[in-house]
Amino acid sequence: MFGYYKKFIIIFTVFALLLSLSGCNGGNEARKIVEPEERVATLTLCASNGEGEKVFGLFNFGHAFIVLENNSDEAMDICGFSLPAGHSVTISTWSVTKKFGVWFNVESSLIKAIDKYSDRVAVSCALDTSAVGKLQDYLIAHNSWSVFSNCTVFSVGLFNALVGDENRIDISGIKTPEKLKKQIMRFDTYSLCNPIATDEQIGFLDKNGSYVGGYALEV
Amino acid sequence: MKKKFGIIFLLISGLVSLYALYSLIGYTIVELGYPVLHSSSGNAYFGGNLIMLGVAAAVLIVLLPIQIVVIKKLIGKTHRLDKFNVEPLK
Repeated sequence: MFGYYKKFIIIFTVFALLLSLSGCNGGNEARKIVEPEERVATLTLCASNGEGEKVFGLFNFGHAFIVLENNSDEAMDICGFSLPAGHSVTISTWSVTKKFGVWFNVESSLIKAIDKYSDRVAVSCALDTSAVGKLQDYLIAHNSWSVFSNCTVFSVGLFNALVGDENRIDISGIKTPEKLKKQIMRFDTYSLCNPIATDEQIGFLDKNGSYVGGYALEV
Repeated sequence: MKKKFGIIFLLISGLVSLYALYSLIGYTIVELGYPVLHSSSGNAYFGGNLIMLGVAAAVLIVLLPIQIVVIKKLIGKTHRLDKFNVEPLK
């Protein structure tokens, strides 16, 4: 009888240890962002673990998203969404009843309307022309949302696809905004509650990968 | 043995049901306070809380009928014991 319990305790301890280790990734040494010489856009990876919004006993995993700023002289076309020079757009995946997939400017509008993600941390990296060229393909290929293909998976995947291997972020186990927040804070240039310009053109990518706009936030 | 198992099941599932009920009310309040995405083709709602609401509702829908059956069986057993004045073997 005791042998059975002993076995159970050992299995439970090993499982708990693995679970706790899944949050760890590498050392705690500060990382530096390696940027290209050419800058046509700036990609910012943001993560918030929902601190300050949590209700006792209810799950709030936070949110992860991307901010893309157009630093070139001309408007940038992203799947039919026109991003004027000097403007920025927030992009992430959402489980919105209209579309479980890529949405534009939801975060910037939420920040403006209800000061959401006030605990967010962010890290920025310059993008050259070739990196910007990959953006559209990535958005079309990852235009979906599920528990295991969530906003963190999308945002980290997009960041890794565009900024090069030197700046790559790896998160083991289930990818959550909380784990991403810890990884972002390892960069020496990370910022807290970075300012995000608000552009109220809210929209999503439809199943063909084309931008559908015309949405506004109603508080 | 079956009675003991039934009581343990009721205790554990009762706690789970209470948490599901708390979640059902909590996520409803959170969702009601959340903004809505409005467009000319109709409103769109943020689904995170709705998914959790669905999970809580599903847990209650699955557990409640089983709990009712278990309670009925437990009460039935107690009644039979009372009726025939049966004492458990020692």
